[in-house]
Amino acid sequence: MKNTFRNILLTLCTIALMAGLSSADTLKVGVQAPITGDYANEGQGIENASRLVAAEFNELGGIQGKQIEIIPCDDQGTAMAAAICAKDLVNKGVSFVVGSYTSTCAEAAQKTYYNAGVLQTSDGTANSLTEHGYWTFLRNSFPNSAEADYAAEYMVNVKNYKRIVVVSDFSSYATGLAESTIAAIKAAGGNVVAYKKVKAKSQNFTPVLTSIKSKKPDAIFFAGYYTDGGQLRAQQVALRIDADFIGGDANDNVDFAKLAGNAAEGAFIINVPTPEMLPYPIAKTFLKNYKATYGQLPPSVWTLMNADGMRIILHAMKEAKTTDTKKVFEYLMAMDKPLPGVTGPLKFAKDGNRVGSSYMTFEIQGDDSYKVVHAQ
Amino acid sequence: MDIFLQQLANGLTIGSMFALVALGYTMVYGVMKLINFAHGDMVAASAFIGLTIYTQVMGQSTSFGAVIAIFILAAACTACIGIALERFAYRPLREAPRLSAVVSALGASLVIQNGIMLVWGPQMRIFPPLVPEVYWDIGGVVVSLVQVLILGLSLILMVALYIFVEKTRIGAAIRASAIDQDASRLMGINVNNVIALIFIIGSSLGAVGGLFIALYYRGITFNMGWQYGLYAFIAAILGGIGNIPGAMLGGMMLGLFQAFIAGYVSSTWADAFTFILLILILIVRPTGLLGERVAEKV
Repeated sequence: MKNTFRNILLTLCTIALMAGLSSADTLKVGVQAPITGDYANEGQGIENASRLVAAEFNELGGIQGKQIEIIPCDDQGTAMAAAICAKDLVNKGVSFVVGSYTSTCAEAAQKTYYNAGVLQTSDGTANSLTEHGYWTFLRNSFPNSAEADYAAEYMVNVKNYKRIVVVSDFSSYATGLAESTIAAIKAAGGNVVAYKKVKAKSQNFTPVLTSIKSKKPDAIFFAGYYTDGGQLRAQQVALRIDADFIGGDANDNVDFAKLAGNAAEGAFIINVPTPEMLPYPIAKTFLKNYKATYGQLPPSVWTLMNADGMRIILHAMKEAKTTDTKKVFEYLMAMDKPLPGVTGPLKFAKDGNRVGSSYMTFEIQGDDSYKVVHAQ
Repeated sequence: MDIFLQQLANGLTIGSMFALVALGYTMVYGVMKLINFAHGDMVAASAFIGLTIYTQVMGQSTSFGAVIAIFILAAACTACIGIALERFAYRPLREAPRLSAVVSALGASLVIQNGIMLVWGPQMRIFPPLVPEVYWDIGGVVVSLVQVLILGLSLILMVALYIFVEKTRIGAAIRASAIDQDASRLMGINVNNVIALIFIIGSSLGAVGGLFIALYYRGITFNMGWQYGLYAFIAAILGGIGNIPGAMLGGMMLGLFQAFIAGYVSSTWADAFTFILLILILIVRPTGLLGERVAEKV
């Protein structure tokens, strides 16, 4: 009996020692992103940027002497693969996770990270992401409700649209943005004449647009992704629907203008400032390093948002001198001064939402470049 | 009224694309009693081949001659894939049970789809605007040059195919092979050549359909063949599989049906209603709209 007890104790000690040794090597950071699939360029951007942030911290000696190791997992932009990624990353012992790009994937993985006490920082903008009460989730972008308030204000009070049509697909991000925008438009005294849903990637939006045409709208607000937005815009112009096109933040991608062709000119897109418009010195340095390392600029501002989410968690680990996620979370909540980030000051509210937002409206020019026409 | 006419124009455009793709299914089924599941992926492949010919061979030229050349070259390349498919995936299994051939077709579909992904990458590619963006507004109904070209060329190709099959000696050989392959052999018809010809014609028409889809929507992805293949397959069944005018009618009907359901009911329900229509037609007319009741040989 005594022997057994001693053996168990010995085994436990050995396990503890081994665990201690292996975790002493590196600090593992998971990157859950759509590295292949429809949003592949966004996913690859997130992976590239997180490697760059890791290199920055590693150069300064890492976190408590540990070097940061990036463990990527490809969720392909689908909820099913996202749930598998979450389990996989938790099993590999990551201390926090950057990603994913889409709200749907971030949401599918949330509970696994919460149960394991692994922090997660994502650019997902769906309101629902912070409504489950998972303390582990930190949003590095701004929620749909913030964008909806700006979009409604712009459409109703700045542009004075009288007949607005709202279009979304079925993803959690798009329906969330569409519904909060409709609520915000109504609150601002505007008039939504129709709310239409389209199937993402169905390509043929002409039937829906034809019935939208009969509503005689002066503005179409599209809350979905750029892959559908570009085609929707092209087909809208082809049908001669004389209405302004206003795309939500996920339309901000170079492929939008390519898909829309000549029709891209004159379309409006609402988002936070694009990477090259960011006024902060830290942004200019980061973009220069990114370009030098990967030979191109990041695909969109979402890449930088995720890099900032990663940066603030690493900063907290460094300052709080711990990698215990609960203590890191408490440090983040107690921060009274925001941390300067690539996309602006970084600070979280109690529910995991990022505080402070600055939206802009861009108009796409004839050469596919953006012109700022209104800023918050 | 103008909404109705607009939906009619939309429906005819997508319908003619479905019809072109459906012809490939129906011709192969007519002769070989095999559903070529890889047909949709060949349609997708032709769009990517067209893109590569445009950038690499034609030097991004959109002149009239270059556009014609892109269509002909892409159709020729896709026809080669079709011949290879028949030679290596279907001919060795011609005497095997029908299920083996179906499994082989599904396998070929995956091979082509993943081949496209490996060559051209998993992300969406943008197809160039080969046709000038010209629109006509006829009393509130807007029609684009692309739409007119798609509808016009599809009709010409379909009429030409019909005349070829019904009025020429080779057409007679195709029809004979569809009725009874052994009897055709006894009459001196080389059935292997007829089957190869079927794959050449079917794949080329599918290739033109694929290029039309790419021209009309601009965004092409490696897995888009599945979606269009499924619609075209439904179109072929609707019209009566194995029947060439049936595939044309089925394609047009499906396009119009989808446009009207999406326009007047909801685009969410377009697919559900499409399958309900298919089930209803199969209950009332199990052989499709124009399909003939053929006695099963014992």
